[in-house]
Amino acid sequence: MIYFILIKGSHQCPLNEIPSCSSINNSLIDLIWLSPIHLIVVNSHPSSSECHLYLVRPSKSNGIEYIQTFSTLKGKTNETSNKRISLHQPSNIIKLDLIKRKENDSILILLFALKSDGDIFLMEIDENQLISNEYPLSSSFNGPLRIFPSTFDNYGSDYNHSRLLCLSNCESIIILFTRDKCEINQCMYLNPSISDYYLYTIDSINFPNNENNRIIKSMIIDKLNSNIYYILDSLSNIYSIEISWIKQIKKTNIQHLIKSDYFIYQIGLIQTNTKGQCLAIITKTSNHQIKVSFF
Amino acid sequence: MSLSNSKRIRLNLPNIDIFTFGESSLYGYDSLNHCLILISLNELNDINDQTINRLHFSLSPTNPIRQLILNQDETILALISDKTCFLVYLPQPLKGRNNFKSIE
Repeated sequence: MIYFILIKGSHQCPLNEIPSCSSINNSLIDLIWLSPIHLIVVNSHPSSSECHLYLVRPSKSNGIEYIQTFSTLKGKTNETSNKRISLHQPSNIIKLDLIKRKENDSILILLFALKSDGDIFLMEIDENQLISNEYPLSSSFNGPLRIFPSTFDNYGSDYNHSRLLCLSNCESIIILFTRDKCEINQCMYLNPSISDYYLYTIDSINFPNNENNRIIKSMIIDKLNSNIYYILDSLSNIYSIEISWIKQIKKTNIQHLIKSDYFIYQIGLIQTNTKGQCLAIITKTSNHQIKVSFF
Repeated sequence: MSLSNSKRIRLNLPNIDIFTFGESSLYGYDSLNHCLILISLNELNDINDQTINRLHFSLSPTNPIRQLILNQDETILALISDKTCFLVYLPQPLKGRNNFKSIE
């Protein structure tokens, strides 16, 4: 299905619907861009344990091309996993995130999938293979990843409000995932040998959860400072969190930046000509005015 | 850092409550008029003079849009609803104001 956007002058911009998403019973769970023209979609139908890869060609009329499906159900289950055995139905993918890593002469895209039972799966995609259209890709999901040190509750049971975020610096890849609404686990991604992946939890941050069911709404990366990220909670608090343990053992530095009287819709980082980078927050007043504030 | 010492801009955008940030731009979705807005934010000292650009749809998505996801080079915007996803191929150059209709 193609719609058009009318722009001043004779310009028209097509608005294209991704074909597999149009099933009546379907819900769209998550979408992530692997490259400027490759995206991954997770749908509830026919299986929320699968990801679908598409190639987008803006210059063509039917420019969204389905490429391949990847399933977490076919992942290589690690026999020595320390995670608890799950007896319930296959769990849904609820969140995707990725990070890129240089490896010899190529770049690997590490795609992480967080599932509703807390399991995290990983797929490695060779960026060269992706952009040179060498389909089907040879990649597949591995997991669930072992998470050390093991915990009695498998790092939580309530993942319905979970977030997943990948940070990177030149030395280490950091994976953040939330659980039980207000706890952030900071893990180092370790890959000591081929097909051997695990996460090591260095620090866990707990925010008080006794006031109005506070949940973490979003987490964003500071692209200029790879060990800093920002979180927004449902009570319109914004925190900056600096991971100090990457190079030396120091406690994570948490700074409460803002408590807004107005509901915060969204936060983001903006590159500016004058100040380099600003934290931007969007609030809405009672008379429907949008306010964008910069710090 | 507090709200009192921040630099703020006020925008009258009554039907827009879905946003995403580009590298130096703010994108929003107008659910009533079924269009996108684009605000360039790279000149904070001149922020009050910013032009808000608008991209209209000829047809409206049948389900409410709940999220906007930009690709890495800000050439394609994904409009996410509960049921489906639409892709908008953004005109280039993205911030070329002559390509967009400005809000009066």
